[in-house]
Amino acid sequence: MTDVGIGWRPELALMIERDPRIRFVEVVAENISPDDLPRPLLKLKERGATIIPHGTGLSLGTAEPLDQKRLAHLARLAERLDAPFVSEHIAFVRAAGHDSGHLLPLPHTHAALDVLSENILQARAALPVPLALENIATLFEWPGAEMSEVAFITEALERTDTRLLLDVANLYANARNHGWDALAYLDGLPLGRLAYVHIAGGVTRHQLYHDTHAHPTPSGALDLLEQLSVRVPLPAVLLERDDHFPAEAELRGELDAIAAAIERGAQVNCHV
Amino acid sequence: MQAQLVGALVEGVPMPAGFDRERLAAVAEALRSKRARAVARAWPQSARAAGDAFAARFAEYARANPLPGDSSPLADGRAFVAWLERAGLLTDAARLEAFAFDARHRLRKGRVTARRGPGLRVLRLRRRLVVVIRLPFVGERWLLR
Amino acid sequence: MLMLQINPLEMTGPQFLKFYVILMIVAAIVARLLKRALVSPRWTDSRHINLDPYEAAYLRGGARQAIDAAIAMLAQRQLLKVSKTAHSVSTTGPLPAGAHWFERAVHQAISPSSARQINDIRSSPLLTPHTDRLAAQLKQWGLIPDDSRWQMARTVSGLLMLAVLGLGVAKIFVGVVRHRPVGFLVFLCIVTGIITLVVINSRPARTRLGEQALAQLRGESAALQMAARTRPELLASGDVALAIGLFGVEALAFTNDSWTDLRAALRPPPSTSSGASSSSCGSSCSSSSCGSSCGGGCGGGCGGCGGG
Repeated sequence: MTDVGIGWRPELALMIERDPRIRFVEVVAENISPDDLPRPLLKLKERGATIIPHGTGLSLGTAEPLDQKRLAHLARLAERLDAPFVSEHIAFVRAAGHDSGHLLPLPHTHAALDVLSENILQARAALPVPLALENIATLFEWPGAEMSEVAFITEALERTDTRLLLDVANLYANARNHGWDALAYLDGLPLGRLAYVHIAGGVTRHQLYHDTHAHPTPSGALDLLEQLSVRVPLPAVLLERDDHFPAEAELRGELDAIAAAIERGAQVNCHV
Repeated sequence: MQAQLVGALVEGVPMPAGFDRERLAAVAEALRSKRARAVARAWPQSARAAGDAFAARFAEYARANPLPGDSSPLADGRAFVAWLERAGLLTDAARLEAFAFDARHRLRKGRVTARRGPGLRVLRLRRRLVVVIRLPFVGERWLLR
Repeated sequence: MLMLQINPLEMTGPQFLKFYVILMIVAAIVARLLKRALVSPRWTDSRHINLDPYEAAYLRGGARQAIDAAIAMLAQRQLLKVSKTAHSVSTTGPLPAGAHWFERAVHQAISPSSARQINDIRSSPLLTPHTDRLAAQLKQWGLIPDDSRWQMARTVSGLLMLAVLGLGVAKIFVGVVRHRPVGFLVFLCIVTGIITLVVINSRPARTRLGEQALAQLRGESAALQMAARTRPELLASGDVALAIGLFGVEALAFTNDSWTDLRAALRPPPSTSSGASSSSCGSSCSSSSCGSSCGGGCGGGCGGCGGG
């Protein structure tokens, strides 16, 4: 059975605590301190839930040495939470001391791949558990690409022997905004490395799809999840909701829709 | 190149060549609105003080003030409140919110750290006086009249 | 042994004054500890105690907190209208059928529908039997001092202080007989007398078991506290009541006008957006960690990030 979980946020702590079916959560690493874990997280851990520290600020793609403090923070969190792995993004957030406050894409070039791989290896060496890396959603691409994103990600993961955190909503967003073939993307990924899957909602504004984590999950993202489930058994799928939190019943409905999509895909391939 | 891109997105320096200008502008806009949302959630009273004009006011503020050092909505919001205050747009509730923040936190180079040790602060509002005292062992005490 | 060989009444004046000041402080501390120990029941297991919102509010802050919690609940459900400027409330209509008995009592104390000062409601004799009923339940569970234990505790600790006072008075007589100055000592005896009065008149708000139960309930409800701070509008009304009971009106970050008025009317709130403990978390999409112990309620949500 695939675990269907949700990103732990203070706004959702009560709902998660009261729903014993939720056994898989993720915490935004930068928002909590390993020495002062929120009580509700400790209670979840006691009941046997898996809690993954999810970093957003390591900036693995920045052409500078990694911030050792952030790395140590992630490592401590993984230890305190008994996490099976830590996740981060294939992206950069800061450069030359300037923080964008956002995950930005990397140029898909061999030079950027070298920088990224070097940083991933450095991060892996400092972490007590395996690292899983996520594809991001982006509204723009760098000029002068030497390969596709899927080739870029696959090469980075293979070269550094790292796991994959596939965000189907980000893939859905990029496919819509850049005209990519999402299914070909799925087929190009090293799915044997899949650690878990992200899904989230977004909204279309001025013909662009924005991955907001503040709106309902679009059916297109659920379809991609189903297609992924046809290709490989999914260890766990996690819904990310960060803002404009709906009533519990609505979120519950989204989780059920996610479970149903996984189930449909699994039926096709009979790997239930 | 990465630095120039970040600069273009958050500080409005000229965009690097070869990028899709419209898309970069959309990203810059998305970043601003995300920043505004985070501040509105961390500073509900100040967001209320700005009312319907919050988005416009914040956009005006954000153009002149890049994200502070640790990119936290707390620090960003404190700077925004100071900006609102200079513009004479603060309500008492928002002033009290900022006062409570100042009583407990310190901003150094854009980073928020908790205040420790004894302290005393006084705030005069239109209709009342607020005093906060922090003492060892006793902790934080609020006196309002 | 040294102490036993020395008769305080035979000490010189300055010696005795030093001795007496120390004795006074030690006695005050011991009396306080004794009082706490004597009002606490012998059983110490609070795990099976389940409090309703108004019992929790009473345990946290006595009758006043319980009444404030009920006013807040009624106002939250639009059954009361709040005037911030006059610090008063008035009823808007009858209570629905399923209301808690304590809410019913408070609602009745506010009717007829003329506006009533919140301070008057808090001290209304109409409510005394109802707050007593809350107290009786808490006493039965041993969470707040019951009357017989309290009488015993105040007698014992009061006698201790009286003994100290008696020693001082005796020394004054000795001093007067020997024509020595006794001004300082008279002053110290007056201080001792005041301490004695405080000791026998200040009833501890909770027993040790009560402290333990309250801390445990609040800890277990940390997720409720987070929800109350970050999105109270999605809480069921029973949860709103419990959050008010355990954490106070200021723990609920409703931002509608009537709630803001209510908070202002109940007590001008030291509200703040920010978590008290700010683990400085710098990141592309972080906010404060929303610290656990905020004095006056904190409304800061921890943001997530899009695009990741």
